[in-house]
Amino acid sequence: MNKLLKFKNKKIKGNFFVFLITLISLFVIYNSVAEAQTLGLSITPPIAEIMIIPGKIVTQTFTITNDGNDGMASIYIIPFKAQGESGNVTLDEKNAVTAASPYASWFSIISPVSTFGEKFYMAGGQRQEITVKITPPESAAEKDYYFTLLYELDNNIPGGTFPMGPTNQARIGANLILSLSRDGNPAKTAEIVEFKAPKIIDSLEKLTFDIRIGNFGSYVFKPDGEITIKPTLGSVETLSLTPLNIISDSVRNIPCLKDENIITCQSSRRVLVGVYKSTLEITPDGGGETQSKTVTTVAFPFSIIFGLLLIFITYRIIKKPQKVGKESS
Amino acid sequence: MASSKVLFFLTALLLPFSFYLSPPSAHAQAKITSPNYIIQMPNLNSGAGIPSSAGYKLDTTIGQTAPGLYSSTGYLVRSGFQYIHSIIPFSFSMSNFLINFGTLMPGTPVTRTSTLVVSAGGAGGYRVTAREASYLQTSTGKTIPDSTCDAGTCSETAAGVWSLATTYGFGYNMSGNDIPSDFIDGTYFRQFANAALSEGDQSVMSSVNVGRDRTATITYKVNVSAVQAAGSYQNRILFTAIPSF
Repeated sequence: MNKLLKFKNKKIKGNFFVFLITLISLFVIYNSVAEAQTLGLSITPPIAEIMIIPGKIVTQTFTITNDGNDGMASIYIIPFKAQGESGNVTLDEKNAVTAASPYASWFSIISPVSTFGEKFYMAGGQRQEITVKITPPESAAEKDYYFTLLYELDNNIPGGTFPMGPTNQARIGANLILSLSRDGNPAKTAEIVEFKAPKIIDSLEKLTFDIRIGNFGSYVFKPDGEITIKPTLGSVETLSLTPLNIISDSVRNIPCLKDENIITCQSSRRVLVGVYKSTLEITPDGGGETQSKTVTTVAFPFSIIFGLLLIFITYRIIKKPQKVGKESS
Repeated sequence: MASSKVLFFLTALLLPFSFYLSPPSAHAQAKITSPNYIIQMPNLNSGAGIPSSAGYKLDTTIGQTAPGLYSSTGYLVRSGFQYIHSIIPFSFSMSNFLINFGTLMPGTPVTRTSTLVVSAGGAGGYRVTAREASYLQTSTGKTIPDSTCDAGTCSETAAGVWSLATTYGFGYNMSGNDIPSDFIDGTYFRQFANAALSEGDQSVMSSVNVGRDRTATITYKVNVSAVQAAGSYQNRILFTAIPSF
């Protein structure tokens, strides 16, 4: 009997061991497959703003990582333009920096390779510093030039065979704002393209502002400004603008900033009554000519009056039949 | 003799204080760093000063009051965003970069998904665009065209409902964070912008806000007719993630 029990125990232990090994193997296989199918890229800093005298040299280092599977990486520099009014970019890929491009002499990659587009190995989890030398020629026009440094990663295909369907590739970019100036103090002019608030609002609505600032000059700037809301009664409220970059020949929607959070430009007061004069004042990079614009909003308690009327009418309707009932009795 | 000793003692006592009280040296103008924001060779307007928070929140005036310094060094570099203290790099990841539809049956749509994740904690807003290099095609050049959806109206810029089994082609749907508003629900599909037709990249995710782990799911869909030639159809889709400037 004991021998039988021992034999059964041994069999159970053996089965359990086989089951455990199978489970671990499946787990390892599953994880390696999942890992093999992941693309992961990162780059820092996400933006570099460089002001330089034509003919001088500056080097800029970006750190990239491969958070996915092993693969072959390559670096490109491509001019960009503003896309829309939210700070997005559209790449001018036809004019990517190559040996034949007009910007060929401006940029050179120092490490880890010596040519843009040249592939280098990036193991999964690897960090790599990318050093780029920037040398705009002395003859270059004094103005801004905008580029994106692109890090492209081609992951290894597991098994080397492509399946039936699409294969995805990924690129990640960091923007490079290059200002060429001999004196380091170029003229910057901000223009308030739109500063809008509703003319009449309900007292329970919030006073919200739309702000669009234009840069029709040759150099990028950050708007340094605020909105001052002055009510007929009560204290003044101030909202700070987010110092976002506005590149030349573009207009950008500018939100407000509170505790490092980008928020809609909106009065924090809950109930508004009376006339509100809101003034937007901005200066490019905190210097240069100040631009200002004022809008007036009238806040009237429409919803409160409507609510009171509704209560009054309801009350009258409820009361009337009771009166009629009393009179008839 | 005694007076010289007193003088020496006083000098020794006051010298450390003089270092302490004197304004910051040229070091401050050589390089200012924070984990996310670096200024090399800054010429800062003294009127504004350098706000002295832990993270160098340089949200006031940056001017050029010392042009001599700029002209000698020849450059001024600012890296990162001055209004965000975050040190998170800009990152983009995607699961399932190899999409395998398997064997297709005529009139039986097949879908596959990938998850896109963007962290733009240190980069303000961002935009992810996508484009296909060509139609899904075989090595001999036979193609599965991009879907125009049930009403024949969807394109690379506009989504449309694709729910009929008799609508053929290849397209994608987006769901999750920061996706284009025309993907109303899971039945709405678009074509990928086709680089072979010189169509421009289209946004699949975008936001003007700082975000961490913004996640969206892309659903690829293919459906073929009975007259579709047999073969292994493939293409490449390129996703580009770029932070706002």
